[in-house]
Amino acid sequence: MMQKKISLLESLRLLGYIHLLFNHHFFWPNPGLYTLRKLRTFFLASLVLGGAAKGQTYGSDFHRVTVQVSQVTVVQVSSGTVNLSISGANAVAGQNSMTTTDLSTSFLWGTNVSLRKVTVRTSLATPIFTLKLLAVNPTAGTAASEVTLTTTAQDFLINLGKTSGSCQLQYTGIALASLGTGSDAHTITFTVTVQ
Amino acid sequence: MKTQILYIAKKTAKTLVAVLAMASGLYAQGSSTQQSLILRVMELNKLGLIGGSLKLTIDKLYADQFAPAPVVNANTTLLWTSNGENKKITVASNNNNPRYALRVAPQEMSPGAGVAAPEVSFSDNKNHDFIVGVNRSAGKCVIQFTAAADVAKGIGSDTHVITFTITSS
Repeated sequence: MMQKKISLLESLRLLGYIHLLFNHHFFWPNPGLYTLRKLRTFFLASLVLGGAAKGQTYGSDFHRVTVQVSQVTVVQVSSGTVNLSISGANAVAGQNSMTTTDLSTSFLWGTNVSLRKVTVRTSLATPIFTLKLLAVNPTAGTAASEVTLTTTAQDFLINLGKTSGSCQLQYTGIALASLGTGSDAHTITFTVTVQ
Repeated sequence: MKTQILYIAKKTAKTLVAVLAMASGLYAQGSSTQQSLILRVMELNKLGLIGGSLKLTIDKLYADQFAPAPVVNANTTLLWTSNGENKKITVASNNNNPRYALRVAPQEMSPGAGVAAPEVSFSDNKNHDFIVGVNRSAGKCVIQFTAAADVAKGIGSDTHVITFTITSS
């Protein structure tokens, strides 16, 4: 759509006419002169500003948006419970040691902080049987060596930094025939901490 | 002055609230998690044999007695593991009327893994104690077979299928 712009020369000419009109002695002393002068000012301003603004931005404003990302570290296990059982199938005649392995659950993590590791510990201070844990096939970070679980936190995954990933939890239960039968109930705690 | 103190107090309170909120937020994000694990060990009893089929051949005589000399074979080994208590290992033959004598006894027992029972002579197909006092142990022993024959029995052969079983005492 074509719009006709008022040139600067035309604006000045119009300004002169209006100035002559409103300042002529013909109007003086007219009670409405003050009001007329105000109208003149508004009119002149509208002309000048309107002419200059045509075809350009009519208005703008801004506000500031700040996105703040805090330290986020989330860990999770795929299942809250694991059942390990050593039965006849796990025994070899003549050997005192019997083992069973479970790979049914996974550990998942996400952290936006560098230099982190995951430690693991159990709540059971005096287990009858040995329970070992190993991180298998971690998608990020490095698996620590297989640990025998104790109440002291030990490295499980190291070199985690600004990553998300998962690994399989490989639990190995070891029982000795000489220890007889029974059961151990562990609460395993995984914790992300500074490396 | 009072206004300033009030201002500082308000600022401090706001800061404390912010710190507490941040701390609780981090905790809620779960930087630790737990998993319950139960390790159960059932009673288990395992037996194994090392060595295959045996052939005992009586082909010598005592020179001074004109009687066949017994033959001894100790080429097989019995292994066991039990995490139970008061177990024993028995032995049986499927031949309940053998023509020739066949005896069996454990030898070279693992220390502490059980007690050797007296030598068993097969004359029926019943179970006989072979090792007793097996308690939470793993062990092994050599199985010593002894075959003997009288001249009156002539020549021939017996076949036995020997079965070892771990059971409660």
